[in-house]
Amino acid sequence: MVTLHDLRKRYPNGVEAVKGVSLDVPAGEVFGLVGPNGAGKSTLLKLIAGLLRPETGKVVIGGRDVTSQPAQAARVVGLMPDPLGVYTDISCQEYLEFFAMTLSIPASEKAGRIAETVALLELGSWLDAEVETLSAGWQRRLALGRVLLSRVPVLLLDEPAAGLDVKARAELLGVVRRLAGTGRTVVIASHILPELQELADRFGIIDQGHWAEVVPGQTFFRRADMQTGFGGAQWELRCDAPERAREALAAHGLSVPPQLPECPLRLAVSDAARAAEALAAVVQAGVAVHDFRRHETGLTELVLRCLRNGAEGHS
Amino acid sequence: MNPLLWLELRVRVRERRLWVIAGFFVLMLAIISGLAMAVTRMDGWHGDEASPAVLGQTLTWATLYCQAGLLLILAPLASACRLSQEREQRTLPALINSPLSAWRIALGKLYGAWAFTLWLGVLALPFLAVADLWGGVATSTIWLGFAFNVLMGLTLSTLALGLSGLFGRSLTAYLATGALLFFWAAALPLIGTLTLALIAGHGHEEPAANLIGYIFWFHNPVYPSIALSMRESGNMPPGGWASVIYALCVWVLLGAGGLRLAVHGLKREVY
Repeated sequence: MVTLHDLRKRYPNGVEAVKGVSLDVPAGEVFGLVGPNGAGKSTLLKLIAGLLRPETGKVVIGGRDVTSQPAQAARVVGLMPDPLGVYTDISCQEYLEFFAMTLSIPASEKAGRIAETVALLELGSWLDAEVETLSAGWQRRLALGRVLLSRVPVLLLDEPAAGLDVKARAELLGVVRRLAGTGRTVVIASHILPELQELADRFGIIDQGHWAEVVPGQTFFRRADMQTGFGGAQWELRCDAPERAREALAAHGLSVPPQLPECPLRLAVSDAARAAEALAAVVQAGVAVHDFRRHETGLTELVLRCLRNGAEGHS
Repeated sequence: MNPLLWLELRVRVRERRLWVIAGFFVLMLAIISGLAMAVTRMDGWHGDEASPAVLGQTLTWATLYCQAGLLLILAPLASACRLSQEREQRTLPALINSPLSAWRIALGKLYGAWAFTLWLGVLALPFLAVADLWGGVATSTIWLGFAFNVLMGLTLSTLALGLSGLFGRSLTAYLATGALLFFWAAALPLIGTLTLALIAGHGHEEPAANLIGYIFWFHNPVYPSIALSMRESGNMPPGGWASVIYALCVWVLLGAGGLRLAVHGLKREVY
């Protein structure tokens, strides 16, 4: 659905924000875009949306090359930028009507299209309120409403949950989850990685303008756990005598790094059978085991490792 | 209807600023016209009784020049932030990401700016209608003066819109507009007058004065009104009617340039 071919973008100040990025996002996929500040995420989204023109490379959406025709991109891509930028001195109803007019939606369809969007985003009770009186979360919903009015097949969401409290964030991500269920292609850039981990089918980790990793979600986590580069699968052990357990594991050929008091021992093993052997060795040493479980590596940790590996690779 | 015009009308009508500016405009017209009429009547009391025609003339020219002066300031002032404000409020990416072309966005903004200028123009109509009732100035002259003023206002608001498209900050756009206005309306005529004084007495004054007029004077925002009042008092304007037509052509060209500038500004990657 969205194909990027060797995109490069250099700003007038000389900063090369995107350095030869290629990507293929199939229809219906939720693609998570992560990376540190200034990595090129927002630039990449603006290139896809046709707001910026690349130095080289092209953007193909639904088979159409939109690089030289930003107006074409506007008909298939909806961008919710960050910062949001909403007109604050009109009502929500007027805001949606205005953007319905920009989309040239026929008068006979306009009311229905707005009602559909309002229902999906649960904006009903705010329609007559001035936009500036809305909380940040509701303003984000309204901005998402603008994008949804167009019924575009591709949604680009730049930090959709930025600045929201926990409740507003959960609600907005619920909306994004519902949208993903409607078969739209969603590219979502976010710093809030645990939520992104739940939503995305694939992740692209961008750093200094190029990919550090682009991998499917599940594969990513499995591989991240197993590869030596990531330290092997992590298991956590809680017991009454950590020092004795460490000695037993060392005798079994497993070195366990020192842990802070009250923290579980963390050991890296290649598979579940090896983990069972390690547990047996600890029990045989007379240690009372309280808990032994596989440590689930979070996206945050993995992204940090990816970036660290990337930085070492570059150096 | 252009969506941007729809939005501009909705937003501006609710702004208290619009009504404050309109109130100021009418108040200034009323004060200056009233004072001009009072002075005329007082002259009449000292000598002959001022005739209705004299009062009509006074009211006409006081209103037209006052309107010209106010439009010279207020029309560009109201347009100078229309595009830069979109950048400041970060609403421009949403507009650019819509199927609206840069031309349609610029035209929508332009119509909004023009609507404000026309609104200010219309506010002077009651004064001109009263002046017309007094007599003393041909109705066609009053309407021509009104049309010159409105056209000048539209040109200036278009130019200011163009400059606002170039800048990311409204303050910069205001300053640039003010500088351009000062250069066009005040500095150029001053330079022209001084140049004319320099070449005086060297012979060939007539063709040189004409050339200097075309370069520095005749395209001035208030020149057509001055030419009109000169004709009304029985004198031909310095460059004849050709100079007025020249002025109007320059205005149209400047307006077109302003619109082109606005479109160019919208196509710039300033997000």
